Amino acid sequence: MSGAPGPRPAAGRVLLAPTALLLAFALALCVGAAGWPDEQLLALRLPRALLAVVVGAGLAATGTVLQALSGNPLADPFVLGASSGAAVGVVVARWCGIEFTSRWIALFSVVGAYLAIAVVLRIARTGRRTPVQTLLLAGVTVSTLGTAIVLLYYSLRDEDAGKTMLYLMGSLAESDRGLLALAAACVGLGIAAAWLAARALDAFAAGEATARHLGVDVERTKLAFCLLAAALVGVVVAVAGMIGFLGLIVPHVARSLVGPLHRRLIPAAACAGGAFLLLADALARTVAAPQELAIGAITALCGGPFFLLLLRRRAAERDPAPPAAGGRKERA
Amino acid sequence: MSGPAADAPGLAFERASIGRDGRVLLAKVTFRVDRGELVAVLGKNGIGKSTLLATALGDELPLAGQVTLHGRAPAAWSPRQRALHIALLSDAEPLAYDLPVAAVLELGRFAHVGLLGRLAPRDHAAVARAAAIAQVTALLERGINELSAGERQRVLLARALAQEPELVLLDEPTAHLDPARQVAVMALLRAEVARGAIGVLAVLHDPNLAARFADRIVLLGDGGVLAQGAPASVLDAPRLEATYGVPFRCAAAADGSHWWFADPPR
Repeated sequence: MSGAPGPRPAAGRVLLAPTALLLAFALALCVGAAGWPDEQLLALRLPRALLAVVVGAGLAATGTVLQALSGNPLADPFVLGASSGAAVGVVVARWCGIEFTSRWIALFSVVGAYLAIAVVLRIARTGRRTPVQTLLLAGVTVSTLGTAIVLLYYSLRDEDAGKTMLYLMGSLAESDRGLLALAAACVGLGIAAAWLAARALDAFAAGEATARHLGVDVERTKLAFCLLAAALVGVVVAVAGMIGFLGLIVPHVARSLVGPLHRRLIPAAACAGGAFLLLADALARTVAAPQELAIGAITALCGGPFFLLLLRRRAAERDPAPPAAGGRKERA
Repeated sequence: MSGPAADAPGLAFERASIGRDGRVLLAKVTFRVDRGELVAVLGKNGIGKSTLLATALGDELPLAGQVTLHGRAPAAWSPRQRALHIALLSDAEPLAYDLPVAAVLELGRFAHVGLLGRLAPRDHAAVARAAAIAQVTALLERGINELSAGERQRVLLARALAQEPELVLLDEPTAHLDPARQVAVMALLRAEVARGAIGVLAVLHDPNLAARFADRIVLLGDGGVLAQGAPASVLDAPRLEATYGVPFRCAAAADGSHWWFADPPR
């Protein structure tokens, strides 16, 4: 259907995402409201660019993992409720008196993300299958619930209102160096782990039951990947709040570049995710300078229509317009 | 291949009750399949054929009696060890992602290679051999979802062979295939069985395919096994009518073989 590259995509395609990442990084360092002052470059733009790379790569890698696990190309940390679960974790941590810049906040957000993913996957599973519609509905519901809890906190705790809003909108503006380092380490390790376990993700692409019959310990592997996804989303939300749809779009772009095999897909998605968020942030900083746009709004504006398009295409594949008699399984 | 299991290879059902969620579909099922034989299961839709296969794979537990795979309950094997003994070829639905055929076949080596290992030369050799046997070598570079259902079926057959198990389970392997392909797939399985590479337990829809290619037939009726044994001794008009609920007629071909036809319900 789409011109999916064969088993061995051309080297140029494989190198495209890393190249884009480097170019976007350079661009992000150069572009800004205040031109080229050196000290600003190092003190402000460099950590911010690094944050964008960590967050973008983390979300894209998590999206790739979740899309493989659920066998559903519409899955992503935001759609499945993991992001808002993590945000609830942050709010709970604040309730317990933990500072926004403390590393403990990441632990709470990881736990929140894990609970959200576990609940959504459990609820959406009917018997042996996870139907797409139920998965999305469960995800959206948990996501909305989580956001409601964060909003409740927002309206109750005036002194945290500004910071809480940033979590809801997503922001690369403020973050603690220590937290950034922690997030970078988690995201780096998480991507490496997902890359090493790529073969299991490929097996999940063939369906959960098939993966089991091929010899994959499905329950254990799923638990491990859910923990991994939660760890990535948790630290990412702790440093940058909820940034939606990036984890949904980027794996698709990466798949069209390097194919669906995860040994190539995971690194490509991570690079493309970093590049995408660097560009989105450069846009957010410059378009209405000195005002800064909410980065989450920009990614959602790009991702939302894309999501609808995918949904539409899936629906069209499921029920071809004039239903050919008895030929639903055939796709000539 | 060691320990108490060594003397009991193959798949054995012993007075096993097959069912799902506590509801028994087939009671007191007793038969076995070993390397070097092809056993066909016949029965009408919904009778419990797929549950029977699921029980053999350890996805369902027998509700009574015993099922053993290579001397142990299928569910007691680790998934990876189990996959070294038994492979499943099920319906050829498109995958969620359009994996290249070569990668699909390499997934057949998961149990041999593990999560982190690399494919060794003998793994690549097994894949190449399986691809040649199932005649999918020309499709290796294609995406699996671009293939026709029949081609996809052959790819999945190649994957099951690449897994190099003792037993291959087939759930209606010929459902998407034209008559030529049906016979080709069965002949191919027959040849693999004849050279002692595998044993096959195949759920089939067509009594004639079963009669032609199976060593034994297990005929399922309501609630249990109606008859089993060599095709000629199992297939007769009253039994087929009891199995499928419609009258059957038999015609003899010039070479003396018998062919069965279903009539509309009376």
